[in-house]
Amino acid sequence: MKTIFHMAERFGTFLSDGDVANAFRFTEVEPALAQGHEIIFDFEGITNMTSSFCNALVATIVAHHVEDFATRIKFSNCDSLVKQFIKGAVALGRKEAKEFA
Amino acid sequence: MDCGDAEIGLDFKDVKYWIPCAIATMCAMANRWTSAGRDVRIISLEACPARGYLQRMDFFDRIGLTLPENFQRNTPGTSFVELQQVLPGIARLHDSVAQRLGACLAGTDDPANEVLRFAQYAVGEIVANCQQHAGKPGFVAAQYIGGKDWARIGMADYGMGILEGFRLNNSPDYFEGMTDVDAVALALQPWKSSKRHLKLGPYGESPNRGAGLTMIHHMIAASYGELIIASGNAIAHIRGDNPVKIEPLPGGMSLPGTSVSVLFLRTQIASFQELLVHAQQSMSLTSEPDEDIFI
Repeated sequence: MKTIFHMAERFGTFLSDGDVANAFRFTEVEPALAQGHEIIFDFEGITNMTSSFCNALVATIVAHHVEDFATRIKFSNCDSLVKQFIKGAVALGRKEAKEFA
Repeated sequence: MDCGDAEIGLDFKDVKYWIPCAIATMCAMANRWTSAGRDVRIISLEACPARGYLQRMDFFDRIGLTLPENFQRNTPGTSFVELQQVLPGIARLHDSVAQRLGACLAGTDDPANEVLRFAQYAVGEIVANCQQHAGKPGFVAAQYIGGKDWARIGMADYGMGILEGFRLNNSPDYFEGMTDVDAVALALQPWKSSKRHLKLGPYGESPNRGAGLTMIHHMIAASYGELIIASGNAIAHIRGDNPVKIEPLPGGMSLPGTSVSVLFLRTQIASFQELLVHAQQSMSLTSEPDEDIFI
């Protein structure tokens, strides 16, 4: 089963606040992952974000699910800037997974 | 000055020109004093050449003084954004305010504009730091000086300050005898946040990685801008890619809370994504081939 989160509809076109991302991850994304869902974050309409938002969402998920995140989590409709933020957060999540292993 | 209950006089006689960080800092200080029940009195305002500008920036309104305005208020365009209050714990700066700050700094509201993207990023990270760490209200303002191409954002709060943040959150990086200079230096290092270790927050993890300020530092260095951070009796100057200079404030001054000033030149921001890549690489966040996660 797939769960699609439309980021712009939820948070606006500029994803800025790490606290909001942290709450979203904990209350919606992690429960869906726990139910075995495949997650798609749809970045259609997103023009910018902060590292705080991206790290609080993506890096934490990667750190928690480092073995299988690449098969269970996908990012759609990302422009090159959004992709760059996500790549940095994935790198950070992997680093944290190693640190806390 | 921070002790006692005597009235405080702010003498504006020699004030000619203020940058946003200074306005925000004075506003935060005055709010700290008035919230503690102290009276703040303005002195020699008639002789102050910057009076009209300070009024347009809503400085006096924000410290609870209503003054007659002998001028017509016009839309500031991209010249400045008046002082905006930032409340602790509020999820984010109101979208319209964030848009105004970004548009002022970038000179456009085109979301694809590289300068706007950098400005939004800097505003977002600086405001979030205040909301997450200060524990008290803060103030933010922006200014653009066309002749010099100087885009400035200033943020100040009257919260606990950086050193107290490390101490009160029982950070493993805190040590007995830590000074404000030590704390500011620590805050500029990657992965050093006073809350990073707090794994048992309401959502199981701290959202704070200690990345935002360091990322801005690297972007400022690469774009020949300026970043100033003051907290307690310490001040850090970062000018372009020169070595970071952190020292005590002159004259034994101390600043409750934290003040941050960012200066950049629009003409130096050719590609925000290149600045982002530079900052990520400086923090060893090099990406592995993960193209299959993008669909």
